[in-house]
Amino acid sequence: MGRILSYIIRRVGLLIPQLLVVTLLSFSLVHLLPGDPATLILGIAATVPGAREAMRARLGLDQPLPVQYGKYLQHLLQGDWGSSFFTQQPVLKDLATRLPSTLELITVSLAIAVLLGLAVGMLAARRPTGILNRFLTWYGFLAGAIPDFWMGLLLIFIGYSVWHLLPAPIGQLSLSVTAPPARTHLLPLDSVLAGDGTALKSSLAHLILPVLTLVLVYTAPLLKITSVSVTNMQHSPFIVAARAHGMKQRIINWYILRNVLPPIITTIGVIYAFLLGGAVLVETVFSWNGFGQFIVQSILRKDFFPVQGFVLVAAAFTMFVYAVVDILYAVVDPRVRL
Amino acid sequence: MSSIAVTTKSIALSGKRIVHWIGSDVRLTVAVVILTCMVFCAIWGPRLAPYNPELPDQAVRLSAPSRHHLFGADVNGFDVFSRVISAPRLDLLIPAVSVSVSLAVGSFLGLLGGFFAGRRSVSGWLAELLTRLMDIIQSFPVFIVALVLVGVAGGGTQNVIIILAVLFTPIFFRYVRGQVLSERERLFIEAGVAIGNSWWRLLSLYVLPNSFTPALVQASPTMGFAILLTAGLSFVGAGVRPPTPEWGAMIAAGAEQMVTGQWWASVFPGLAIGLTVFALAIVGEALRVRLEE
Repeated sequence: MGRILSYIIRRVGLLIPQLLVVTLLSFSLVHLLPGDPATLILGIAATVPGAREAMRARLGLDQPLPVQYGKYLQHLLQGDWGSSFFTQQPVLKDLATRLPSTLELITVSLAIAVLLGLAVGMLAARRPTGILNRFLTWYGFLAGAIPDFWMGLLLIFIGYSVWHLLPAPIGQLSLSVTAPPARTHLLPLDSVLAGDGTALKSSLAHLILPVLTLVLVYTAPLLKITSVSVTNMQHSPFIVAARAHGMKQRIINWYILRNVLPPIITTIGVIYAFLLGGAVLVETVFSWNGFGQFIVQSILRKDFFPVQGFVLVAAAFTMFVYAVVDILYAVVDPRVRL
Repeated sequence: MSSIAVTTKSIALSGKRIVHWIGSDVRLTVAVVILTCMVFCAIWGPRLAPYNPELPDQAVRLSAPSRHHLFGADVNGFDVFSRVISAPRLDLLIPAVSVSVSLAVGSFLGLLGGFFAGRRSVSGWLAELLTRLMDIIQSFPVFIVALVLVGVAGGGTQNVIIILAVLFTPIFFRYVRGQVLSERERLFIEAGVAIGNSWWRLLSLYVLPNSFTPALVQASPTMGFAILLTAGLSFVGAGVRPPTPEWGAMIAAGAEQMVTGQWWASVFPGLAIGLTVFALAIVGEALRVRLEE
């Protein structure tokens, strides 16, 4: 255990230099922009003589780059991530209110996708040439080929316009329902905390279609990696030996599962990291008003402090997920060199 | 592994064999037919279109699919069929060019990165630096980076091509580098060094032909991915702008009507994307099986 603990400390320690590189990149984003931030902020007022220079001085753009970077880091640590030109809100606040709803969406979807992928994948691996496997191959190709936002629209058409089963894609709550006080910014949880049954029902109903969209698209890679690794594992000598010794299928399944976990964990990590940005389009389709949708709007408006903050959070999230994957790897597979 | 080179050669040898290969697998046949149709549309689509794909007709707004408008008309009065068959020009061009460029650049850099890896010299250092740089590019979520870069550089065909090419370069870099790392240890390379080849000659005549296949196989699915990215960018209004026919932008134009029940403006361009990417994945898979066995 001590070995793993020291690995965890080292792996988490590695996050610090990684994050520094990321801040350097998000910092240079400002200087990559073709326009001048001061002109962008001022708008028409930039034509006033001297106004641009004054704004540049206020933003610190007239100082040497290393000084600017140092200031940038200092501000980041103090929680001053700049303000949106558009909403006039501090970026950190904008991100903090929107990140939870996106995390809710992608975490719920991924959890369902993982359960489905593991269960069906193991089932399919029993008969590599069976009907289920052939169906899954086709499903895999199709899920990889269909744009997720289009899939979302299709589900809206079927679930809302044709069958009238599910709510319209107007966000996380019906218009007629009052939102519960925002404590966690996770609507279902906030509803429970406020004891508001109507809001809970509405928020869960609004979650169904976007989650279904993501599950349909992102279960495919999990299914594939599970069924392929389990199929390969079934022919490995130690499983053949276990079977020859007459072990119960349940125990053999457990052996297999334990040994196929590493590649599956990697796949889960890659998908999770991808989804934070990848769900952008699905969020747009469902007017989810989460992290991703906010950032698309900011990019299109050239509102760059939110974009800068977003790049930082997205990259940090990716690195955090990969660190967790590495650690889980070490826990699951003792053979991994630490 | 040397069988790879031999197989590549034997495939290149005769067109007859290729036709036989395509015909031997129903899935592959279907995929090739789909892709041929799409390429045909990319060349002739705008000419064959029954209506001008960039000229809306207010009188037919949102009319359902019929004899006159095979795929119906969208909210602006554009004929959906004309636009769906005109779109491949951009929707194939952008991915094809960006994937070709990244395949060439990524393979070249991968060749250098793999060949010089681990040397205690400036070249070794540069190879290491290159690898880390590719890691950094790949550590960001692709779609977001593409979106941010398009936001920074502005939309338009040329910018989207360049940005996708940069983002795909690490994919091919990795495949080639990985292959080179194992190839360079082999006896015939050592023999090549022994008879006094320059490193450039070694790379181009000895290492490259034996390291290129995995990257080449990857080109087809990557192109599918590029189509999805292109469509995604246009869907949020960051890529190709209307009225230029483009599948992603078309889906966006019809998105609101999916709620009110007029499905045709979004469904058909989505189907076109799905079919094309599907076909590319099948071809990639078939190539992989064929070349790696």
